[in-house]
Amino acid sequence: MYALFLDKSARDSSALQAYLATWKQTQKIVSEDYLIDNVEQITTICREHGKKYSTIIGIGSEATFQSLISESRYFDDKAVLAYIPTAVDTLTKRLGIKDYKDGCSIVAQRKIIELTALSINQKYFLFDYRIDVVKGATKDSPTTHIHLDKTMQIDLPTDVMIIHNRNQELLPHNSPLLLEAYSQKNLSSDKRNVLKLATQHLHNMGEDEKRLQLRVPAHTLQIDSSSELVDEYNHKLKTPIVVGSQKKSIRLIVKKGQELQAILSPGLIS
Amino acid sequence: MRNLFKKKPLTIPFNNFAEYYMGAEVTASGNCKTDQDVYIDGRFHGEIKTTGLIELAKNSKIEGDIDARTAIIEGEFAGNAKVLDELHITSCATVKGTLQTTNYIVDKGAVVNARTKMERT
Repeated sequence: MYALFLDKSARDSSALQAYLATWKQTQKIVSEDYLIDNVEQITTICREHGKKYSTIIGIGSEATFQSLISESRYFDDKAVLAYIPTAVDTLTKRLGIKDYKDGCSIVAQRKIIELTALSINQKYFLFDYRIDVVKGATKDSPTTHIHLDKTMQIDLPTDVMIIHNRNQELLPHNSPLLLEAYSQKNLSSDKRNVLKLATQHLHNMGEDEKRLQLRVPAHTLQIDSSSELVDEYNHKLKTPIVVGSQKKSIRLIVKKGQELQAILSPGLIS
Repeated sequence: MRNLFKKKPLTIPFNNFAEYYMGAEVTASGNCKTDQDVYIDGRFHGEIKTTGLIELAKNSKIEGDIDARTAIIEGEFAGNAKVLDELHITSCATVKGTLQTTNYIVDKGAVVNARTKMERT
């Protein structure tokens, strides 16, 4: 059975729902449909009913799909995930999906690839996971403590950390995680500072004030902070955050003919 | 309930730069063993071993041992440095300890109080 998680605030929601109804009829799809307006709802549904679905589809924004990946521990190992977007984002570029109509036809073609998700506390992520440090009353960035593979301890003031799951990169590497941390302090005049050489990436981020302070590869990470840590959707994270202690195979529907390189590392070809 | 759809932008990996990068605000201790380049501009206490390049930048304060193919010291270093190919100590560097290498360059102005052991390649 299929499960369709439809983002309640998706653009053209009524037109989308009408299209989906016709599409399901044509494809003879039997599904249970959920109209979602917050992440907590997804967690509850997945926990209670996740095991019974063979195909789980996130319809709406990337956030809907990411939430399904997060809760993938509740799905059957053979379950397949798919994404039907209502807006253009990084994930649509990775998967080569133009719009929701294209998304529906890709689901129908059912080309499946297997990717490796890594754990972050009890949840999972496929590509990147962003952690924001909530600033207090002071102007300075709060101090974050990082234990790296139990061999290195790092302290730094940071506002944003991004953890990359390198299982989805084609470049050779010896460790599945790459942590990057940014602070708001001004850059030194050092020419080797990679951010000065990568301004285009910064503009892409839309966060010109953020500055790289740390980039380290790791197998596992433990992150703690003097301040509250939240994910990219402003959900509070329980500390210490343990990353990479478990991994899970995710079966994902992708477009036929889509370059593997684009799926795994869209940054390399964009 | 917070809105699910307030998504902040994500970055993409900078694949072409030093894999170990520690900026001036970073304080770290422990062991680092890699085959990648290492760049440190902060404080580090411990041991770094790489088959690539180690660059200890201007603001760096390092206590411990380094073992690399090539090394550039621009900051403060105290400890044992074993460098296979070439060690470059720049004018603003302060170095204490022991240095073992096949080639080294010391720029004018560098403060070096170290025992040196040189070997022919």
